[in-house]
Amino acid sequence: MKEAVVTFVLLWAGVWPLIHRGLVARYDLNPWKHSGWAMYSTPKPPIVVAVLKRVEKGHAVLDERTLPSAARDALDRFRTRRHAIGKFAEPRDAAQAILETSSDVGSLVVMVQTFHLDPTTARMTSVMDRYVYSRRDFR
Amino acid sequence: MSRRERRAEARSRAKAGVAIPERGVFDKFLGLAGDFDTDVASGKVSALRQFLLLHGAVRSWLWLALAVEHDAGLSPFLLAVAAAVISAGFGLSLAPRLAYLGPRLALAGLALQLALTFPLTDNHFFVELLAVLLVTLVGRHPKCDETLVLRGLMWMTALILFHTGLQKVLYGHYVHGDFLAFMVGRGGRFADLFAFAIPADEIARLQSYNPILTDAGPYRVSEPVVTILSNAIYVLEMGLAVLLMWGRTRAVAACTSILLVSVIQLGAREVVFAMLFVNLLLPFLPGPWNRRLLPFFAVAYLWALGAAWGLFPGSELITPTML
Repeated sequence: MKEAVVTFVLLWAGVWPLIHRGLVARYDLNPWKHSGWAMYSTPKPPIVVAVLKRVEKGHAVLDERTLPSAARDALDRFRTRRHAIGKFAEPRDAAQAILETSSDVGSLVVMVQTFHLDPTTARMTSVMDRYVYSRRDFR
Repeated sequence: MSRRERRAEARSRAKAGVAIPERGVFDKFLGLAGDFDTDVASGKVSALRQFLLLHGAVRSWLWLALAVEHDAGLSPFLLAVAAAVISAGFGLSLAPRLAYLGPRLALAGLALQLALTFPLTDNHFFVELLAVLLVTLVGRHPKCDETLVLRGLMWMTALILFHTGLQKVLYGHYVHGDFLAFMVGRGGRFADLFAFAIPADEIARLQSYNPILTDAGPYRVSEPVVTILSNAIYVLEMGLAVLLMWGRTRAVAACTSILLVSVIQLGAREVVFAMLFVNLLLPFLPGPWNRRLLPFFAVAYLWALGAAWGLFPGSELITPTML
């Protein structure tokens, strides 16, 4: 039993970081967290989250400052979780909070932009993820 | 021989002060960390156990101070409970007959802290958690499990050190010094640290980029000192980790690792973590250095607590990362 615990700890310290590296690449997990021992290996800039509401001829950016505090809090919580666990965090709860508290919004799009430092060019690159929600999704 | 019979034999050998012979691939693998007679292993593990729980207790009270000061969204009450539990574990570790219970109690406090902070928990916490998990394996009967635990701790430390270097290679930002250039661009302590190596106009250029704009950069400088330093960091981390596992080079590698970790963590202003990792490296040295230096670290932790609560200067050096 004790040997099993030692084995578990050594696997956690020695093998999990390699799996973690793969999860960072695939799901944008935070390289500075989750005991991947990759702090100071790569930058992890803040993510940018924008919410767009559907209007007559397309979409318009929703000013977060006009949202009720419950919706703003839900969006902040999503930002924090997204920065930590990457694509394992989706903005469903934040979208629901916005739709529930904003009667003029029928559907919305949550855009999530994450930034990485390209090791070849030494310039920032970005990836955009898009999530579409309507009131139907929460009935 | 069954496992029960092996453990009974191990206990009788331990009572007689005889080193336990290794069996199997697992034992041989662990044995690369070094040969220890049971008294030596027991002394090192006992001292490290006290240190780990002292570190955990101080770190926990520092977390409480941070959470209150920065309104981190964590329950101060629950953080205080965790700090009290871990502190009680440290208290137990000072009583010879009850010392083995200390880490078990502390583990409950650590589990609470993990639950409160996950998935934002800082990596430094996981180093502490894994080390405490290992020392928890020391049972009531003295000199039975200490060799296993000590070797586990030493392997864990070497693996973490190795990976901090390997991850730098895998992410690819250290070959040309890009990560260091990026951090200089963020300003603050990194810019201060590298002001000697990078001209002021280059620092200004790096700081003019907005890292949340596509195509910002290039975060690259041509100064050879930066490139050499950047590559030296991961070469040292990986190389020292390997040398720690070889008897002939273990002591020198341990001293060099302690120096490297101290310099890097002081530069990063993470003195609390520096003390933790240095203590995990001390068992690689011949002699009871964990025991010898424990009073020094105890004073250092008292200073850290005082600085966090504004009683002493130097609070900017001891902010423990929490999330």
